[in-house]
Formats: sequence, C-alpha cells, structure tokens
Amino acid sequence: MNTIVADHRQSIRQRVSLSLRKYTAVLRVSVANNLAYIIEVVFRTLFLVVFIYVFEQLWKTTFAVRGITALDGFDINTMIWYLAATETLALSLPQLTRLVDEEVRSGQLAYLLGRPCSYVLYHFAQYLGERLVRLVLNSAVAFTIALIFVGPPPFTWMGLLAWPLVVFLAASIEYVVYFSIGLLAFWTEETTPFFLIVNRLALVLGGVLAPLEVLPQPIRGIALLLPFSAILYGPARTLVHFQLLPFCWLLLQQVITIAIGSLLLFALYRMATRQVNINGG
Amino acid sequence: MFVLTSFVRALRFIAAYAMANIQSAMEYRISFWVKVFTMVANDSLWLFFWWTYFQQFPVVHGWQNTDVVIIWAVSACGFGISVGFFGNASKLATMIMNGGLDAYLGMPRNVLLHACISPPIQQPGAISSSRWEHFCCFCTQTRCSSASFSYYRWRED
Repeated sequence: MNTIVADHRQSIRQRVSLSLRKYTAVLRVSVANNLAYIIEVVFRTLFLVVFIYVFEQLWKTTFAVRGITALDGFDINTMIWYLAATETLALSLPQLTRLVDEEVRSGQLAYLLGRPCSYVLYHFAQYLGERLVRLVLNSAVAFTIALIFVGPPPFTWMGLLAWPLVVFLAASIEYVVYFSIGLLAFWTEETTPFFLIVNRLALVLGGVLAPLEVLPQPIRGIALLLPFSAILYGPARTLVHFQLLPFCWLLLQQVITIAIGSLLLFALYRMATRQVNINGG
Repeated sequence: MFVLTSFVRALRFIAAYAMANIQSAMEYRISFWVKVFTMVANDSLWLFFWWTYFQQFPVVHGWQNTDVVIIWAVSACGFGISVGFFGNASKLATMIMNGGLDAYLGMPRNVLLHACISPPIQQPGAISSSRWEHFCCFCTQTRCSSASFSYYRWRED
C-alpha cells in the first residue's frame, strides 16, 4: 500500500517537474524571440520618455504654482519615481487580447489545442517572456530618465525586495483579465472595445497618471477596492513608499483577485472550447 | 481648370468611399453602437482624469478644466475626422509589409489617397473590425467634442 502511495506521489512530482520544464522552455523561447527584435522594443520605450517628461512637467508646475512641497505624502521626487514605476508597468503590457482574438477568429486556436500543453498556460509562459523583456528595458529607461529629472530614488531595501513579487502578481492579474477579454471573441464581433475600456480604467483608476491619493473621495475609496489598484498603484507604491501593513494588504488583494479571476477565466475557457470543432485531414 | 476638375473628382471619390464605408459600418449595427459607446467611455475616462486633477488644483498657470476640455474637444474632433475619412493612413506600414498596396497600384486613382480612404484588405483574423472603426471613431469624437464644447460654452455664458 505504502509503495503504491509513494509511486503515485513520485508520478505527480515527475509530471509537475516535466510540466514546469515545458513551460520554462516556452518562456525561454519567448524571451529569445523578443530579444531578436530588440530595436523595435527600444523604439517603443521612446513613448515612455515622452510620458515621463510630460507628467514630470505637470507635477513640477503644480507643486510650484500651489507652493506645496508634498501632496498626501508624495513630494516631487517620490511623485516622479512613482510615475516612472507605474508607467514602466503600464507600457510593458504585450498585445495579448489582440493575439488571442486573432487566434480565435483565424482558427489557429485549433492547432494550439492539439499540442501537448494547456492553451492557457502556454500563452501565460509566452506572455511572461515578452513582458519580462519589455519590463527590464522599460525599467532601465525609466530609471535613467527619473534619475536625470529628480535625482536619486527614495527606495528602501524592503521595497526593492518586495517589488518583483508584487509585479509578478500584478502581471498575472493582467494576464487573467486580458486573456479573458480575448476569449470573448468566441461570442462577440469585436473585443477591442472591451480592451480599451479596461485599459483606460486601469490607467485612471489604477493610478498611472497620478497616485490615487489625488482622487477626491469617494472615488478614491472605490478605486482602492478595485483590482486596478492592485495592478499598478500597489506595486509602484510598494517600491517608492514601502510600508509593511499596506504591503500585506496588497498581497492579499492580489492573491484574491488572481484566485477569482482564474476561476472565471477557466470557466470561460471551458465554455469557449466546447464550441470548437476540430476536423482532421 | 484642370486642377479644379481634379479636385472636384477627388472630393467626389472621397464622398463615394465615405458613403460605402458608412453602409459597411452599419451592416453590423449592434457592434457599431457598442463601439460608439465604448469610444465615448474611452474619451470620457481621459476627461475624468483631468476633472479629478482640477478638483484638487482649480487653476494652474491660468489653465482651468474648461480649457482642457476645449483642447480635448478640438483635438478629438480633428482626430475623428482624420480617422473617419482616412482610417488606413495609420495602417500603411502593415499594408505595405503584407503586400496590401499592390491592389491599389493598378487602379487609375491616386494610390496614396485610395489606400488611405478605402476599407483595408481583410486579414483572415481581422473580420471587419477596421471597416467600421473609422466611422465609429469619427461619430464618437465629433459628437463627444461638440457636446462638451457646447456644455462649457453654455456654462461660461
């Protein structure tokens, strides 16, 4: 009996290990693919430079005109580093929704479903690879620009250590959301409107353009409860303004969002794949 | 005289394509209105950001909420017209890369103008999206901008 249980456990461990190796290989290929077109990725970061410059000018002027040195705990240095962090994250999002949408419409999905891997996890590995390349490059550019504009960052070691974890969880939430929108192509004519709405909500209520502290009440309270704050505001605030209690609260919010989002995603995926007919030949 | 005739012919050509594109856009009526609604929401979210900003700081170097809304109205209207009539202009690079320009080269019209105003040659995966995108953008942006412009003029008066 003990031998059977031990064999079973070993078999599960082997399967998990093989599965991990499989998706790690997909991630590696995705990173290599994106590095092959590195000039294109570099050109995309030019937008980041413009974005940081415009908002740096806006907030510097605002602080100067109002004669204030800090706004809800954000001085000009913290504010610019916060904006650099949020924009690094926001502009590193790959075109996931369009990819899934096109695969569904063109029927390419049928080829991927036949492969010995999960369609959702395969895309997750690919997405992480692409996102990693963009994130590293955006971080380097944003860091340089912010350093030139406002000097050294106000980061703490705790914030720097916690940042990769919250960024990974934020990227996972975004994957769940945008992949689900892409799957809507099974039922709707067009998924771009849904993508645009969610993306703009993330920009405004996620705190990309300004920290959520700037929003008036009760909008601020609502924005803090929504998952958008766990994607952009939370990770950026952890980096520039690390506090243990908000960090723990953010982790909890991210984990709950991922859990609920994943359940919805898999339910949607199951409903969608029931509609797929694959004919051989 | 020749220049005038060419100009009138070009205008008639653009009008004919605009009509055809509107009819094509209205083929999927629900999708058309969904897109119009989402574009309104999309523009409103940007205005919402500026509204929240000016709630905190009502005047910055003489600039108020009204000024920003008018700037948005004018630029959104311009963008709407350009995308509404010449929606393919931003997709020229992709068209050239995929050989989509070949279809226009043999036609007796100005290639650039024709490529910009016509509905794009559809990729297998991009079913009709870009066809009505032009007109949704145009309708939304112009309506949105004219509405906000009138509202603020009314408030100023």
